[in-house]
Amino acid sequence: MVNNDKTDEQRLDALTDALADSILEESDDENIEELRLSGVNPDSEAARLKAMMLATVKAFR
Amino acid sequence: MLGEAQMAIKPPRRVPEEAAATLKEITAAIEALTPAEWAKLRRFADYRLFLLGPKKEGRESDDLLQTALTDLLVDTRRWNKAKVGFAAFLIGAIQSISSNWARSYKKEEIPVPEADLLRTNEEGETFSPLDNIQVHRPDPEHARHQRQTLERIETLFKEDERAQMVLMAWQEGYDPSGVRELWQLSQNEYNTIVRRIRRRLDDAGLTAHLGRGEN
Repeated sequence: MVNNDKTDEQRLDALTDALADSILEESDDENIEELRLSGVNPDSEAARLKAMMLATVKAFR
Repeated sequence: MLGEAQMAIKPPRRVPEEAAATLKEITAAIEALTPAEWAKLRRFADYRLFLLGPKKEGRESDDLLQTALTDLLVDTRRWNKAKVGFAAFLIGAIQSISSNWARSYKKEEIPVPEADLLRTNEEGETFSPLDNIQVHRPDPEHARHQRQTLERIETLFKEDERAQMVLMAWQEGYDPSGVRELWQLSQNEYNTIVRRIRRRLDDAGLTAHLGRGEN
């Protein structure tokens, strides 16, 4: 089924889209668990990202 | 090239100013995101960076999130909170920004910042005039990276026929339901294969996922 008309760039783009979109199909619990499995504490990461984003808003003001 | 692109796009359907979220609403939306939504945003940004290869140039998922927010604050992008949730808005912005970064135009080829050209329609989707431009001649380093990445992926899964089937279908542009139909996979079977693919790519350091290697 490989379409040889596609370039490496097109194949890799499509693969990346599918890979990233697969994250969106996961449940909340799965996302939390997968992040934990990668060695990141989900609560700490949420707090860190929230602080980073709020600091950006504060700096903008 | 830029002129041709501008002529080719449809008139922008920008979110009207009165419908765009205010600074106060943006702040409240950040405060309200749940740990699961942060996890999803973080992981989505990580995997979008996979596309960049050498063009990642030290940029991380934090940079993608920050850029999405900054675009919103400076009114390059607008969020219509009546039509789309904040997490979904950020997902769309991250997708658009990472695609634009992947094109990696040299400054001398783009006389105006690409951010200045971005438009958002009524659905909260952001368009760039550069979105439809085909890059016919990627630079040699990027082209080499793309070839090597595809070869590494092929090698990683040479003993995993089912993963090969899913990867091949993805590369051909099949969506999840299309892949399941094509290979007669149940939702559970598909999910299991996809998780296996992600973990193996992470462990091989092919993705930008924190704690599992650098790209």
